[in-house]
Amino acid sequence: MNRDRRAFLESLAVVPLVPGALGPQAAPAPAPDATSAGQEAVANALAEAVRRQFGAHLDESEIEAVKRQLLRNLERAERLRKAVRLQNADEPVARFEPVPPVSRGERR
Amino acid sequence: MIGEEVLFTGIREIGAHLRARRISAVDLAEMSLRRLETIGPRLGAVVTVTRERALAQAHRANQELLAGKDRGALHGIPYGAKDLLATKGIPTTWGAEPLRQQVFDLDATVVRRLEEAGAVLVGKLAMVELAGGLGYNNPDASFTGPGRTPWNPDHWSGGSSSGPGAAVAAGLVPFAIGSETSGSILSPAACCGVTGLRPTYGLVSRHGAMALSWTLDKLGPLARSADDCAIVLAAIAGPDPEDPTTGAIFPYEKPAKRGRPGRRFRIGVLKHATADTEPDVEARFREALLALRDVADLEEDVVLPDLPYREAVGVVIDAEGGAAFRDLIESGQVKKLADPADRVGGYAMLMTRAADYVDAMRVRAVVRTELDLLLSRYDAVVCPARNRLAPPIGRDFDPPAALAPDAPRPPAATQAGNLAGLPAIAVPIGFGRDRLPASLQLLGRAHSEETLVALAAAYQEMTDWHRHRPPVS
Repeated sequence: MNRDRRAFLESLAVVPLVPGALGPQAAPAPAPDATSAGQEAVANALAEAVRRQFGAHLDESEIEAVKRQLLRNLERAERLRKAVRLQNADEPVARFEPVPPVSRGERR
Repeated sequence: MIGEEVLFTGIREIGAHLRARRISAVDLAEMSLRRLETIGPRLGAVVTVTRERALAQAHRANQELLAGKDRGALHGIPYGAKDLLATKGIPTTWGAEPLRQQVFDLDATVVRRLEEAGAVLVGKLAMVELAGGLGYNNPDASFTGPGRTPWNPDHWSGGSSSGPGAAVAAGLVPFAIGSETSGSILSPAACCGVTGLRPTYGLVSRHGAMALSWTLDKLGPLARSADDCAIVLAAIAGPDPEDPTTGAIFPYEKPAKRGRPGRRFRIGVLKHATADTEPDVEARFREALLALRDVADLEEDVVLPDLPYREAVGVVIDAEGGAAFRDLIESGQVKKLADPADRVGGYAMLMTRAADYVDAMRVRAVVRTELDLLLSRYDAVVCPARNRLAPPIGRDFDPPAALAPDAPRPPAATQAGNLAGLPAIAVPIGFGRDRLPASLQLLGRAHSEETLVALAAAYQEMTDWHRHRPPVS
């Protein structure tokens, strides 16, 4: 299952896992493109990922609905990034606690 | 002879009748069960009536009172729980067709605490499927059908705690437990004309509750008044080893007194609070502000920091909800959900980029700091709980109005408050067209529930909107 998923991701030209592994016909990775056309291309690629993974559960009109939602989500993420200029040291709110709240082992 | 109208009074009044033996806990439970069974389905408010458990709890409550054992304000009081709270041996469906047979072998901490407080569980209440996490777009988004506000059953009861809102408003139960990830207590409180209290994140244990978003989910009461909400919150709040986010307690014993000793409240009215708002909601909101001036100094045009609240909440819910419901989505079981948007929404959620999620969580740190700074100047900031009255049943929700780029937009107080884990209380402020209720929300600093309750109680001492009864029988 994992190998299938990885092989599938590698087949997408969006984010090559191994640079150069896609052969001579593969286009170079495009520069980040936040324009609507660029976002649409990413949405299309992600929708294709959905189709390949979950196509058995979705008809064409539903894939189109997913694609529209993906585009809205990408535009939303772009608005988020533009609204707040995060610095490298700005940490997320989630904090990992090394001690579990309910320990199943005894302290020695 | 005390009739079913007692269910429309407050927890303290009902408790007084119980202690004076004017009514028994069993009679009270029977009244509530009967109304749940007859009126509940007409409102799409009920999933499971827990008759057997309720009568056992009510008998015990009676026997204890007769023996002189009084567990406090909730002793013998019936209540309903949103059907995302686990109840041992009773189905817990999360409002979703694929999970109609789901049964847990435990009680959620909240359910257990209410039992310890003597409350009587009479029903599991309807909700939007999976608490709306997959992006529903229609009131008809549950296998129990659309939730209907008792004030006008052609209109929605709000979501996702649709059953708790409708059940309290219709006098099926004196209080109910709902949950909020981003508006799911405030919205039904507004649509149903009841009081809803969203606690500070981590004040109430989520153990045994369905997870939609581990970092946003909160459980809280819907009831007739702020005082009732506070009584319930005091019983369910507090540390729980099963939920590492808990720790604080909420002590509450006496009814809040009008005003504050030694000083008046200070309220900030959010700038553009009534932008893009229905005229009736705006009118009721302005009237409510006039009333609040009796007990508070109001500062107008308080600016909510300009931050991407809606965007960040959306990214967090998509990422965490996608993981929480991954099995349902990947297996295709979501195709059995009621709302077409819920059948496909999960697939887009699974594609949320990890960096976008982490950035949203980094933005939350900024939001937390900025809102705390703003709220440190006030006891609360205020705006309408919903800018629209309850939408009609039978069609999709209206898309957001297409406003000009420079047109004022209403403050995203609900999303901001949820993102920062802050408490808010929604109180009814009157009615608009089609006899639909309007509501305002008071948003406060983390762990300011006592102040919010005092403020809301002061408003409710001056008005009687929370005492109105819808035309159900």
